[in-house]
Amino acid sequence: MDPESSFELIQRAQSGDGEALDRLLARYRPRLRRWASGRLPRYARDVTDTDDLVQEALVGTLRNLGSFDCRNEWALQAYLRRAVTNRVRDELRRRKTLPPREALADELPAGDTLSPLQAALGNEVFERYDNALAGLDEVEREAVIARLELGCSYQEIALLAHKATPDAARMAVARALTKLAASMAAVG
Amino acid sequence: MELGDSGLLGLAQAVADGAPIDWANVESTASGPDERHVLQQLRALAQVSVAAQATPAAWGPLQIRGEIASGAFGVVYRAWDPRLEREVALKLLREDRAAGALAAAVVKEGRLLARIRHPGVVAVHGADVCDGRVGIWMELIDGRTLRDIVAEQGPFAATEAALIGRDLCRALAAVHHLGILHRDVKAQNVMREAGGRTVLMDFGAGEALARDGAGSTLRGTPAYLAPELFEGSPPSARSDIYSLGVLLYFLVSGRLPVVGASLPELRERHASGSRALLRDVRPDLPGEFVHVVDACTAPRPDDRPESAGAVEALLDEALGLRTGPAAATAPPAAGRGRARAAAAVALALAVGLGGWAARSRLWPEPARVPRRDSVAILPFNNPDGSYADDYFSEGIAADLLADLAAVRDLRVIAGASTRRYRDRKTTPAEVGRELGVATVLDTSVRQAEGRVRIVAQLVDTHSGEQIWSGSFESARAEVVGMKSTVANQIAVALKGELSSRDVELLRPGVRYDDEAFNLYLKGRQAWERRSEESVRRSILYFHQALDRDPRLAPAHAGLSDAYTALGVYGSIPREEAYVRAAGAAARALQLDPTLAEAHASLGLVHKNRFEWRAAEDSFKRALELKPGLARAHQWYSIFLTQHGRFAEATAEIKIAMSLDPLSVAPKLQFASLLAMSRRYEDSVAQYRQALALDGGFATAYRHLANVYVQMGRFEQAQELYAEARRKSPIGAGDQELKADSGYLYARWGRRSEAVALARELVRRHDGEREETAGSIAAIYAGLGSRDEAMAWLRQAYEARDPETGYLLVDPRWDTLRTDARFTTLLKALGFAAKE
Repeated sequence: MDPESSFELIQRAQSGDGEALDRLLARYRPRLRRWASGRLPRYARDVTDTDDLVQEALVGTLRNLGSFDCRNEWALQAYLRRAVTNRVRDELRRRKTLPPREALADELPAGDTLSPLQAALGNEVFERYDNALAGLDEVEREAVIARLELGCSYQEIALLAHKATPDAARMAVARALTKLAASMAAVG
Repeated sequence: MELGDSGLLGLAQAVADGAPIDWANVESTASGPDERHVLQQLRALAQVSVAAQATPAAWGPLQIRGEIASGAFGVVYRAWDPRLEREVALKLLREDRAAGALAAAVVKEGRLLARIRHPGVVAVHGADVCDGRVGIWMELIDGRTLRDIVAEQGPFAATEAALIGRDLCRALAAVHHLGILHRDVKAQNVMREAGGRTVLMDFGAGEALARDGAGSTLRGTPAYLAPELFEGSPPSARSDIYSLGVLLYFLVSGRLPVVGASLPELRERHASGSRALLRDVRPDLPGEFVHVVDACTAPRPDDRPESAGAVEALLDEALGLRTGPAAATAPPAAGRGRARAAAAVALALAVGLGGWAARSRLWPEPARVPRRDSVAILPFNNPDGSYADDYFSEGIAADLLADLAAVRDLRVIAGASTRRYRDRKTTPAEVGRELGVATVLDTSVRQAEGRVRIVAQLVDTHSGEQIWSGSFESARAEVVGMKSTVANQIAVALKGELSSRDVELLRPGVRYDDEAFNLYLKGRQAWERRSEESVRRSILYFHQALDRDPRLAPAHAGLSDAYTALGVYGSIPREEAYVRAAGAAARALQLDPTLAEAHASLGLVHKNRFEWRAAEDSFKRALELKPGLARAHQWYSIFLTQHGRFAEATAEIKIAMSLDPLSVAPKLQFASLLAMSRRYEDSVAQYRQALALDGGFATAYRHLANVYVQMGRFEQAQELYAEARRKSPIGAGDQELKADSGYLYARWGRRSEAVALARELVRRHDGEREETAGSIAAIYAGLGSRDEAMAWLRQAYEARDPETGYLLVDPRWDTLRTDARFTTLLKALGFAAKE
C-alpha cells in the first residue's frame, strides 16, 4: 500500500495526471470488484461484465469528483461503492433486465435474483446485517465492510483508519463486529 | 462456563480473521438465550467473512486482481506489485497452513528457490507470511500447462515431447545444482508460453501433502511418485527423474503408466510391477524415445539415468542430435525385463486407466464378425437400487453414450430412442429391428459402501450372441475413470482397433458433481419435450445443476439451447434470448473448448441470427468432435435446407434419424426438407410416417397442411388445420394456425376470408405486439399483393422472425422472387439469390 493519500491522488488525477488515476484504480478496483461480486444478484452478473462496469464507474467518478468533500478514505470508499451501484443499475436498465423480465421471473430459480451474500445468509439475515451496518458509525461500518466484504488486509485497514498497527486495526474490526452482532440480535 | 465480553471479542477477532470456529461448541458455552442469540449473529457475520476470504483484495503489499487456479494447498492469484509496477503470480497457502514449522519451511524453501536463475524455471520473487497467510510470489507466466495442452490438442508427437523433455532436463539440472529437489514434476506444473518457452513451476512447497497408510509423509502427486518413495526411501534426483519419465509418458499418450485408486493400491501396483508399457499404448512411437521413457521410469532407482543431464543426453540421442552411448546411464533394457513379466496385466490395463479389476472377453476372429458399427445402450439396470441410484446410473449411461458418440464410424443410438426399453421386456433382436442396430449394450449397476460395480455385456442383435462382457469395480468417486475404461473396451470390442484420435477422446474427462450431472440430465429430458413449459422447466434444472457445480459445461450448453428455444417460440424477446443463449454457449466453451454440445448450441444461435458462416463453422466443429451428436446433424440439416443445399441436408438428417430412430423431431425436419425441395408427395409420406409414430404434434398437422396447400389440395389442408386446432394447446387462439389458414384461403381464391384473417393478425401485431409479420406477409403473398407482402416481410426480417430463415427456399415466396425488393432482402439476409 503506498502511503500517498487518495485525496492527493484525486487532485492530481483531476488535473490530468494519468499515473495518479492508475494508482487510484489499482487501489480501489480490486476491492470494489470483490464487493460488487458479493452484492450483485446473479442475473445482473450474467448480463453485465462486473469488471468493466467497476472500471467505468471508477474512471468516471474519480475524474469528476469535483467538489466532493474527501474527509477521509472511508467516505471516498463509500462514495465509490454508490457510484458502482448506480452504474450497474443504469446498465441493467439500459438492457431492460431490471427487474428481471416477468416472462422469466416465475420460472427462474429464486437463487438467480439473489446476490451471493443474500444467498449465503438468507434474505432475512442479510437484511438484518445490512440494516445493522447502517446503524454503525462510519468508521466502524467501513472497517467491517473493508474486512468482511472487501477482503482488505489489516495492514490496509490500519492505513485507512489511521490505526498505528495492523493489530490495532484487527481489534477495531473485532469491536465493530461485536457491536454489529449485538445490534443484529436486538432486532432479530 | 460463560463467554463474557472478552470471550465475545476474541470470537469476533476469529471471525474477522476468517479462522475456523467450532460453532456448535461455542454456542453450547453461552450463558443464556441472549448471549446465544448474539453468538448466532456472529456466526452469520462469519459467513460474510468466508465469502470475502475467498478472494482477498490484497495480501501484504500486493493487490490481488483475480484467481488463476486453486487446489487443496491454496489458491494462485494474478496480483499487482505496485512497488515494481508489474504483474506477478501469488500463491497463497490455505490459512490453516500458516502455522508453525510448515509456514517457516515453506518460506525458507521459497527464498531458496528465489536464488534459481534459469529461463526454464519460474522466477520466484519472494516468500513471506502476511495477514496470517503464507504466500509465494513469482513471475506470471502467460501460457498453458502441458496437461491442458494435451487435454485440448491431444498427445504430442515424440519429437515435440523430446524437445520439451530436453528443456525440462536443463531446468531440473539447474534446480538440482542448488541442492534442491523439485518433488512434484508433472504435466500440471509445466507451462508453455505462446512463444514456446517451457517453464517448470510449482515446487512441492507445502502442497500435495499426502499420507500413506504407514503414516510417513509423502509429497507430490501420487501417479508421478517414484515407487521407492512408497517404501519410505528419501526423495532424490532420481525420484525427480522418475516423475519426468512419467511426464514424458503422459505427453505422448495422455495416460499414466501406473495408476491406482488409493496410495496403498498404487504401492501394491508398483510392488507387483503392473504398469502399462508405453510401447503397448503407443506402438507407433520411435523405439529410441520409448527407451528413454522406460529408462526414466525404471522401478529401481539405480536403473534410471543418474542425472537430469544424462536424460538430456539420451533425448538428444533419440532426436538424432548426438550419437554414441550417453554417459553414465543404465542400459535402458535393464528395467524392462521385470516389466515384461507384467505385460499380461499391463495389456488388460492398457485400454483404460487401469486401477479397476477388469475382466473382459474380446471378440472372435474379426473376419467372421458382421459389421458391428452401431450400438444401442439400454437404460442401465439397477437391480436393488433406489430412486437416487437410478439417477446415478442414468448419469453414467448418458456419459457413456456421450463418450461413445465421439468415436468415428460408430453409430450410437440417442437416449431418447432407448428410454422405452427400461423395463427390459424387449429382446435384443427386437431392439435391433426397431432401432436398426447391430448390437445392444445391457448393463447393470450395483452400489454398496461407496463402491460401484458395473457388469456390462454387448449382444449381437442378429445372432443373439454375447460378443463381449466386462465386470468393473471402483470407488464411487472414481466412477468417471471407470466409465472411460468401459467406453474404451466397448469401442475396441465393436471396432477392433481405435485411431489415436478416438483413444484420446475416450480419456476420462472432467469429473462433475453427480447430483449436478443428474439435474443436468433432467434438464435435457425436459428440454427434449420442446414445449414452452418444459423448456422453462429445463432452465430451472440447468440452473440448479450449475448452482451445485458451476463448472458443468454441458449445463451451460443446455441453458443456451433452452434460451434459443424460448426465443424461437417468441416467449421472450428474440434478441434477449439469443444474447443469453450465445453467452451461455460461450461460457460452456470457456470451460470446455472441446464440448461438441456447446459448439452445436452456438451454431444454433448463429443460425437463428443469420450469421451463416459462423453457424456452419460451429456445426462442423461440433460434428468433428462428436460425430454421434444427433441434434447437431439435425440443426446442420436445417441450416443446409435454408441454403437450398438439399443433398447435403438430406444426408445430415438421415444420420440424425439413424442416431435417434424413435424421435419424431428429425423425421418432421426431413418432411419439411422434402417440402422445401418441392418433393411434396415424398414430404406428405414422411409427415404421415412421423405422425404414425406420435400423433400428438399439433405443428406437424399444420406443416402437413401447408404442403397440401402447395399441392392445391385445399380441402384436405382445411381438414388438417381443423385437426391441428383441436390438438393445439391454445386451440383457436393459435395465431400461427390462423395465419396458415389465411394463406390457404388466399391460395384457394377465398379472398375475403383471407383478407379478414390478415387484418386480424395485423391488428394483433400492432396492438399486442404479436410477432407474426412473416405470416402476414405470406397471406399477402398468397393474395398477390406484392407491396404489402414485401413491407411485412421487411418487418419480419427486422424482427429476425425465424420464418425469414427459409426465404431462399420456401415455396410460399415463389410469387415474389422476381421482385427486386425480394432480391435485396435475400442479400441482406446473406443469401445469394437462387439462380
